[in-house]
Amino acid sequence: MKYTIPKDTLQGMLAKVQGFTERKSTLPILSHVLMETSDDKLRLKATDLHTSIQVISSCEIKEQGACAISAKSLYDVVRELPDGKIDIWVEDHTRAHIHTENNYIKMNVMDPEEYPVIDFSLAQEGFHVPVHIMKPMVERTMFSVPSQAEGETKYTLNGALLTATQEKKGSYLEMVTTDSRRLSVARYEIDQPVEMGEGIIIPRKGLQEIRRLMDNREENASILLTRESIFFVSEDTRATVRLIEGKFPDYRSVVNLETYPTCTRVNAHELLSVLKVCVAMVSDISNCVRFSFKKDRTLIFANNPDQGEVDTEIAADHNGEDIDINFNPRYVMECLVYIDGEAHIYLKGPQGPCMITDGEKTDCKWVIMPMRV
Amino acid sequence: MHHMWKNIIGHTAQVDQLRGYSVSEKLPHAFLFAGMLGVGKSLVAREFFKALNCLNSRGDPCDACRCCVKVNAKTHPDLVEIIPSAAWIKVESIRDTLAEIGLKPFEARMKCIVIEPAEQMNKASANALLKSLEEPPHHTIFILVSHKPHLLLPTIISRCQVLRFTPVKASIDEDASGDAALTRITSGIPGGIAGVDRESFLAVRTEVLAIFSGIDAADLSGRYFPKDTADPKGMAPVLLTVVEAILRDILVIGHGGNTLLNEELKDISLKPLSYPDVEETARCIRELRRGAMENINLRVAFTELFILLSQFSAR
Amino acid sequence: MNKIFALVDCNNFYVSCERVFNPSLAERPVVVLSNNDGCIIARSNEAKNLGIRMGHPLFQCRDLVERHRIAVFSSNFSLYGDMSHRVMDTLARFTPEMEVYSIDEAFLSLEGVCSDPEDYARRISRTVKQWVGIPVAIGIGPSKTLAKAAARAAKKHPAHDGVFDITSCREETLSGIEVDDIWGVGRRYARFLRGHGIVSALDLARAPDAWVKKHLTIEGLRTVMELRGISCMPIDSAPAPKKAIMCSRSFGRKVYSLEELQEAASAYTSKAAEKLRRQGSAASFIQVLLIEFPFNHGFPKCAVSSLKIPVATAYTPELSGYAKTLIERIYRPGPAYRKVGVLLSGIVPRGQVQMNLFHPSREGPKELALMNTLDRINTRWGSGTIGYASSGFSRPWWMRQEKRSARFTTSWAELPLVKAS
Repeated sequence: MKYTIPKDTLQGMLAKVQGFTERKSTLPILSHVLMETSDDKLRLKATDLHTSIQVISSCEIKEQGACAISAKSLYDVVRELPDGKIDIWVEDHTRAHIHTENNYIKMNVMDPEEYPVIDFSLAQEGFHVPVHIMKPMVERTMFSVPSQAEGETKYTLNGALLTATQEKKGSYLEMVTTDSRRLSVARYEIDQPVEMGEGIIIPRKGLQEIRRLMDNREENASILLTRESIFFVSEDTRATVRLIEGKFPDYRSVVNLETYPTCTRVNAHELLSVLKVCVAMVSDISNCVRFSFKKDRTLIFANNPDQGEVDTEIAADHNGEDIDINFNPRYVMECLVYIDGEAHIYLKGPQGPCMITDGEKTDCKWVIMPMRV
Repeated sequence: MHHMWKNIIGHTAQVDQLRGYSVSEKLPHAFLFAGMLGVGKSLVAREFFKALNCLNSRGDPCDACRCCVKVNAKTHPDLVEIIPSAAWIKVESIRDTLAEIGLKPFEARMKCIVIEPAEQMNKASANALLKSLEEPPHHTIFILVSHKPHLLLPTIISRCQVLRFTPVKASIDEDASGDAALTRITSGIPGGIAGVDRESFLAVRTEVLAIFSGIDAADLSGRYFPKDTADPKGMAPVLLTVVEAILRDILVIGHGGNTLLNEELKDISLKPLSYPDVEETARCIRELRRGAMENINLRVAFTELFILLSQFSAR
Repeated sequence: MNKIFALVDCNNFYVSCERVFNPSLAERPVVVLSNNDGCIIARSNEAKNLGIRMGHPLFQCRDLVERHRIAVFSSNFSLYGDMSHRVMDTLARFTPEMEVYSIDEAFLSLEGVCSDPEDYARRISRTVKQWVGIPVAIGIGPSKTLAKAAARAAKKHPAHDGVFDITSCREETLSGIEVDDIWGVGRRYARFLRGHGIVSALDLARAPDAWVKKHLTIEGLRTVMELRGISCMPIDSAPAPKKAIMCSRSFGRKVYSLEELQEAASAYTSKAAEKLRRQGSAASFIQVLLIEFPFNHGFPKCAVSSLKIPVATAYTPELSGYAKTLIERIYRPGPAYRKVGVLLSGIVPRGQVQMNLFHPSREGPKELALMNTLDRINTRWGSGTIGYASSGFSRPWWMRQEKRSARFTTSWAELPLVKAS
């Protein structure tokens, strides 16, 4: 392998892949980046076995080839080199030579055959989803993926289920997460149908990475979905995450609006600020707020013998029986944040689930299980 | 009696069984490989992984494809090996692995988690493992490797398909390869000879067998331990392995058997079997195993052992 | 206003309980044994004077026992527990603010309830003796630590006749108490303090603040302030619910079979669940442990297994079910087992149980009512009156208690009989 590349370009590429290497793994090669050429392009690949990334750039290729080289050392070296062109060549899989006008550096490399295989070729049947749809979908559901500390043993719950549906009205993407105490569903319309079978489950870590990549506002960025994988794609970058296999629990019945006979409509912002006060009052041990849904008003009561109590009433539009029900206030707050104006709170009874929506504005639903008193 | 896994000596039945699993779609999700230390269990586990995932010929690893090469280089991301840190396999190692158990294999068809030696899981680790052992994801299998399976929880064993690995039998016609001789000499435990090269091993065996043709026990011992206590070449464990194999054969012959580890004994006339003598010799070996590290007079101790051994001869 | 604390401490509590129902023991030396009749855990003054030490194994002092006709009792915790309740109920009449500190000790706040604390304390002492039959010693002081020190003095010096107020002679009294005997000073700290020339409680009270804080942490400083008469620890009248509930016992004999171990685990779980309900809690985590008899004087082997409960519960059958599953997970046939333990943790208030989308709670209104009834019956008619068959009937593994006195106050069958003709 032999090529010439401007320092800035290589440094930029290395900076992008740095975060995806893994230095603490039992596989030493994961701290390396895979450097390979194809035609007139240089590709850098890195993976921590959770997220894999590839950055491409055109450069002057003199001899095709590949090698695996320490990502951090190479980055540290390149950063210190003077601006201008860098010549790089690798002799028989053992040594890389990095050459500028006055510098001559040799670095050990590893056999590219030992590098984990990552397929970045984009499938033809894939479907591009714009970031402005994917991003809110992730944000509105991610918080109810169980944290690692919870040690959820049902492993399919440790991620978000992403499915595609096709209805008469149009085609939809749907993302669902649950920690079995609450469940979040975000559904967004897309402009053409996509075939995803039973859907894919994106693990918590992968979801975070995809969100971070979307936050970087790269040019022409989009998400590409296929039956079996999810890619982040931009001008020069491709990234993919390793998925969870298995069956996500059946959640359809709990989000069926028709099974909720009672509904209260209340200003989301107002309810949110009352709950913020409650949270300041309740402790970790007794993390419980009572909601009394009545005709024309909702009463909120929180009580902590060590601190004091909150007893507040807000105006509401209530249909159905009066219901007293207890919730962990944080669960309610986490979804109210995403509701502008009126929140619709659907109920079955004091021991049954509660579903919160923003009316008809978007197609997001949050189901929360109450606390038994 | 040959099988296609060229890196494995013996274990024909076990390899056949595993080979069958590797090409079928019905695969147990957890295995327990039980058998003596050094008999080749973890080697078989690695070959099994190759057989499941070989890119060229599933079932019979090619040792040339990307997958096989990575396994041999110990860099395959889907072959996860959990080994003890210090004395135990700590619960953190198990938990870290289990936290990612739901993830699809990175590049292989089947992901494989090898726990070795499984009996060194402490209680917390075993407990953490139990749940996942019940229903791992479709593309994941567990292989527990253990040379003390009686120390495992019955609940763990009951969730595994158990394969027992017995000492490897060597047949005469394989002698040419040299492996069979080695296998025999180490009581059928190929891993038991680690650290000593093949030639010196064979030499030691020949010398020890000479005790039956009248060589003096003290001379023999003196050859290995000229300085009484020092054992710079680490010969004591080798000698013990050799004597143990001979003692085993003496017992087999005494009971009319003829599947010997040391074929040469067939030509030696032995006294009728005396259990007290066997017992005494075994005790001597045991004590030497325990004491070999300490500062005992090895020359004297081994002289005693060789005398005991020579007494089985009818000469 | 200065605070006034009293510490009421029952004298040789277990022994006193035995004596209440057996007046003939009055002048005799008496000892009470630990579970399984192993060691001595309580002694009457007469037994103390014979040189019998706390924690002494019974078999080592067989001679003394026979020579001096010492009365020996297995521990009878249902009796002691009930007697303790009676003492505490009586004490509660004397103050609105009281902290039950242990089975035989309570702190009382005497602030604003009397003008002459010492006189009031004598009344308390008399009342307890008369109503319950248990002799007590009472220490009075401006802080809890000083009250505790005073109670010690009250017991030690017969001249005080069981009541002592330290307030007017603080320094003099403290100079006669060794640092080891101060509440809150551990044995390890005591050795350290001695090394620095601090031998008596008074020395400690006079130690510079900065030095104390540096070497004994803020807790140590609090003790020192208390010794100086400045109260730092208020009466804690509502003890926080326990964060974890453990129930474990050694068996009366070696146990080998899975069935017996499960039976025992089930019995202990139901005990722990009862405690759980009594403090109004539910558990979301259960752990069992299984301890083997040590082999060849080695360390006893211990196996532990645990699981997360999907919906926190205090429902006995559900918890016992988990306990049995967990025992089965770690059981190995072969070794003799000595002990089973059940630990319930992840404690939440029973009225704030987070429900689960995929696991319906097994503790519905019916189950709640059932548990209430069960607890009421067992409170009223004595513990163990009704229970689950899974906890066993004959319980051959139950601990050894060969010399237990009758459960005079908690079991109908064992009520003392009075014959009047």
